Amino acid sequence: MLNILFWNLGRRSSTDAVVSIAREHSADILLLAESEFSRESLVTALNENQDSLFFLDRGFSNRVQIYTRYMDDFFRPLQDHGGIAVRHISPPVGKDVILVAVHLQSKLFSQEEDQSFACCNLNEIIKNNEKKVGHSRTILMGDLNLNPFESGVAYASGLNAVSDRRIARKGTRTIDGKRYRYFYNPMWNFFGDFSTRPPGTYFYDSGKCANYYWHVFDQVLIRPDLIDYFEFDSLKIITEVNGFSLLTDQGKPDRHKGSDHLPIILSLNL
Amino acid sequence: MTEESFWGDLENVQIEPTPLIHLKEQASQLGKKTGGIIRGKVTRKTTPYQGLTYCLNIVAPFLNNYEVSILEVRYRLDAYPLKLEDMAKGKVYECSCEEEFLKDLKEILSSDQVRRIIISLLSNSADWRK
Repeated sequence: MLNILFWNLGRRSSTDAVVSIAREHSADILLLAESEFSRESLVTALNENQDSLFFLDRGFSNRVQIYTRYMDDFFRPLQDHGGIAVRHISPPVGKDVILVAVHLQSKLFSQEEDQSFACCNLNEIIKNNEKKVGHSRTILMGDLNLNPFESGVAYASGLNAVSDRRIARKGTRTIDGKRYRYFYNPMWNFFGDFSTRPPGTYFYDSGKCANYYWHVFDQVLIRPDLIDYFEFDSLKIITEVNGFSLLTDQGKPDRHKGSDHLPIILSLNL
Repeated sequence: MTEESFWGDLENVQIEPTPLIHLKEQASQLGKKTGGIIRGKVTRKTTPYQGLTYCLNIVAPFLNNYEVSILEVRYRLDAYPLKLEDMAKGKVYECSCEEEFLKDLKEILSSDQVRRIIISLLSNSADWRK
């Protein structure tokens, strides 16, 4: 089982919280955005009194920090482009996969069309790396700074990510003779208040006419070729670390206890 | 009908090197200076802006063709002023002329951050070549 955990730390959070969450959820790969920790000090903290060690990623990702339990031969950097880090994971046993860790530009610093084009470029980078590796068992995880329904994520020329895996399993859709490969986006399931979990990973009261309040910016997208390896029940928004809630009394992410974003985790059974 | 050209003197027009030509030159220099162990690559990027956007990447053939983006240049057909982004620092330079562009380009390519990336890629490539 491969457990991947992503958390946008919002330039806050403590080493203890990150170490605890990684241990509690047996993370094999830890992806951190807006982390102000030095990579060396955090990997030391993660490995303190542990038998199974984390290693530093060898790539040059500057907007997502990557820590992995896989040694060099099993975890190779493919590409780093701003907030996009592409890695080839070849576990000793099981299928190899492509991991795309992302932290795209915030809505505070870019317009919707910039974000849509960023997704088009992200899609190009993913396609190029799938061609390089020779398959499309790809998982994308990170802070897109976009909701699943926004154009960059949903448009065919963007990430082409759909909420229904039966549609995603068709592989591609064709528009004007051009084929676009699907992603399956299970994060659609996290909207709304029918369950006890928070209705998103990030809360922001924009004060605008269309105010969503809750956002699912932190997402996991899975190519159809990887859906069969995805453990559906494993995908979670994490709300507690070490017995302490990451939420305020009103149920929003508590930036003083953790971050303004909530962490997410999933498992792949490769 | 007159056979006189109204187009002025086009034979002696001085062709100006575009920012793309300068990027390609620096990409080629990296390959030459490292004996091809790492090389530069220029790619065109899709953006919502009118004009052209190019990225200068470093590629490490001995490391599974690992690719890291160093900088991005955005300009219109008249080239200047242009925007040059140092992707390691997230710093954007505004260059009003070719001279300024070359000065800022040199500053980025010879910066500590880029040097650290190059040294690391050369060292790791050497491990794989042994």
